[in-house]
Amino acid sequence: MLIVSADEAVAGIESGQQIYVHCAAAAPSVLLDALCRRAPQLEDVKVVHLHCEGPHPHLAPEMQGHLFHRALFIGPNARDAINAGRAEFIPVQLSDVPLLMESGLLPLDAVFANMTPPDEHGFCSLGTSVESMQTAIRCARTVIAQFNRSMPRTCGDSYVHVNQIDLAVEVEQPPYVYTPGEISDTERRIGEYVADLIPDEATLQMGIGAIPTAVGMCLADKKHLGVHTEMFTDPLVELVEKGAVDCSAKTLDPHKVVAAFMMGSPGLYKWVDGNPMLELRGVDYTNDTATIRKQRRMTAVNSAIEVDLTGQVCADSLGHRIYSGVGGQMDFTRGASLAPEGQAIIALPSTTADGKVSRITWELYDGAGVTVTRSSVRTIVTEYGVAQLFGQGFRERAKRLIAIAHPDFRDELTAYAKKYHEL
Amino acid sequence: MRIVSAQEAVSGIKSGQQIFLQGSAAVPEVLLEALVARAPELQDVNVVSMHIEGPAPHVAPEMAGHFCHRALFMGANVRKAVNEGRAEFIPVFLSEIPLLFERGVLPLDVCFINVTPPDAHGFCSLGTAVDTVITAVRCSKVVIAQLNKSMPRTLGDSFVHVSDIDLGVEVDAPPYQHADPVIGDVERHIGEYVADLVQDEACLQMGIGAIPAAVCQFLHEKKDLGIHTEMFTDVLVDLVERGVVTCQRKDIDCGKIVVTFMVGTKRLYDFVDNNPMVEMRQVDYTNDTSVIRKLRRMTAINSAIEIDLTGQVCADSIGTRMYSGVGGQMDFVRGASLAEEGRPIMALPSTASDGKVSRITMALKEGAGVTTTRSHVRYVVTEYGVADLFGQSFRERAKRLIAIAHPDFRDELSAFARKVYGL
Repeated sequence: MLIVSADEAVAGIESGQQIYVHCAAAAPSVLLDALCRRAPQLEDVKVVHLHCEGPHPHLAPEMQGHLFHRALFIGPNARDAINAGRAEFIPVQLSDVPLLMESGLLPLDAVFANMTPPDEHGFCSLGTSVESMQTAIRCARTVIAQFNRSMPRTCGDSYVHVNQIDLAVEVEQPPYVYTPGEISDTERRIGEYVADLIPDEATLQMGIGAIPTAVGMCLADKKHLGVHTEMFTDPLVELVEKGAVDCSAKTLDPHKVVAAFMMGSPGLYKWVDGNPMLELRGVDYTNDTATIRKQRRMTAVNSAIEVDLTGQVCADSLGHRIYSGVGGQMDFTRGASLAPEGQAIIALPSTTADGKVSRITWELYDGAGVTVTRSSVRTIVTEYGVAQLFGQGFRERAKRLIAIAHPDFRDELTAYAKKYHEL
Repeated sequence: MRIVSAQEAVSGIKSGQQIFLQGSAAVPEVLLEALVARAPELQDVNVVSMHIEGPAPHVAPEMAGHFCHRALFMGANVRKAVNEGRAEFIPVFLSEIPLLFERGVLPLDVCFINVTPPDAHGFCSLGTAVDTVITAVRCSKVVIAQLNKSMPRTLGDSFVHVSDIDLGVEVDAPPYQHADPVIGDVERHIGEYVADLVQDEACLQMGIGAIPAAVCQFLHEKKDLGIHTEMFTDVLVDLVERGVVTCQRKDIDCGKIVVTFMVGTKRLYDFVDNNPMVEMRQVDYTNDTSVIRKLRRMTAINSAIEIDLTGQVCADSIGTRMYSGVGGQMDFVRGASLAEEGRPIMALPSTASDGKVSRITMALKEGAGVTTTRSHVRYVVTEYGVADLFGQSFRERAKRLIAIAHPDFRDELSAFARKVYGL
């Protein structure tokens, strides 16, 4: 391992190579900036990552032809580039990303990682994101790291030895902070309905945003909750601090919060620093249905863009336009469905924010992607209530979904259902 | 157990009750006919089953109001009734039907089964269909059996003890037969491409029809194949008798053909009779991804109605019109994907309706159901070749799928892909 400057670290990157970049709050911006400085000398360098926080200089229009982003999950900052064709989206289950790397379908020339400086044993922690990084580091020919004094030292499967690293750049760059928006009354009501479904001793998976935050606010009085999730967030830390989450009733990994990465406030990053209660694991563990289904009362809470009257869930696209990605939604939905007393919940507002479009639709938009199929779906929640779909026929599904649609749209949905599903 | 006449056996059925019917070739036709004879006295009797062979007299138009068939998978004989609203379809994974019974989502009053007469130990074999019947028997209040001298005695998890049966009717009714399909040139080409993907020592899952039959014709030179499948058929027996299928390389259930039901000719039913090589198991075993993924080189061969250019697979519906069901497609696709060197394959002709319609489509038909999502799909095969979609972007998927579309449709598909995916 050599300590070098950022520009030296990326000097060996050649045209046509493929680089994997550490995701979410751990986006290694010093290395990305250096790569962008070198971009004029490079052609067709592929930059592969999940959602990354930060400004994404590699996606700027002037990078076209030099750097090409391949998204395995799309964040808001990559959406324009993808829909403009300057970047591309690869639909893949998050749990399958390590397999893509190992099978050679996603060959990696280099990996850009962001980690703590080595400890006295030579180990660096991957900090806020473990995701597929262990596999990426094993599969990549060159490992380039930011040794980041501001990165929290997380526990679990998050350690990389200096021997595995080729080049390192010393930086001091706190992980990106995510600030959630305001919680509206709609989300608050959704949160209440979801929380009503969650029994004591349940193990939770939730994402980030207003609905998970609203759910978290309603769980303070629950007992012995656990966490086994993809993304760890502030509302979950609050539940630990309030004593609602202690992970004592987990069937697998008892007393441990298990997650693959995290995003949130400086308080979150402080809480995880050196905290043995948190175990970060690769997505091939956290998102494996075989793991998830072992947790009694596993409760997966995910969201969607639209749900049709047969229960098909679209969470990744607006018609032909791709919006985010599939992530772990299907794996957690399926794992929770198979777990003893498990529940798979899809929670969404009944309409778009302006109230003009119903998210419960006759049929999905032309070109929309189905992320949870109608035979996998279980429970749908809106601000108007809960619809249980497991084992129900099309007719009954339509009836139950219309009952939780926004009242403004119920008549037209009913008219459609009468025609197609003989309601 | 009391031995009674068919009329006596069904005389206790009351209006509003829910009856489970053993499915596929094992439909208990004598009991079903006796039930239908009682139609004028009965109202709203629900008949729950998977695909059933035979005339399905209870779904005739004049039975509306008396019987409502609730299909967990549907064949041609109930399609019209479902689409006319006289019967209904419940979208569910085959592997989860036992859960529906156990959790009381589909409470069962009565179970109609078709079994061998009791042996010296009092055990009856479920013959050609185990699928979900063991659980149905356990969850039903009343169990009524045809004790059928012509039912083959299959082994494995296929036994019900007479003490679990309330009423028995002695019959001699061979299980329904399904003739060998006619293989055309299109299927022959598909079969050859699929067979090229099947490695020696692979473990096979396939369904019934011309494509699986064509695949098998090209497997004669393979070595030590195994079988772990939902449906057992004549063409697989042929491979056993040729010494191609030995099951000796299976990582679990070594030496055993593991299946959950079968449909075919007398040759098949004679082969399985008392044959210890054939191990019948319930769907919660055969179709469980945790089981399937343990089989090295698991090769799942399934079909589809249409596939869009992003790789979304529709296999259960033609637009809003229900066609079949989801069965085990998604479970086998996922299980094979996760298995070491596993290969899930979707094999379909490039066109439908005498070449007038491309099955590779710009977008799925309005209302179509997605049975395998674009993040799950792997190999797609038509008579024009093989497209491997795993880890590929929308653009690359479109390119690969257009290359195996029918030449008559490639131009319009390309024009669309240029517009939407920047091809």
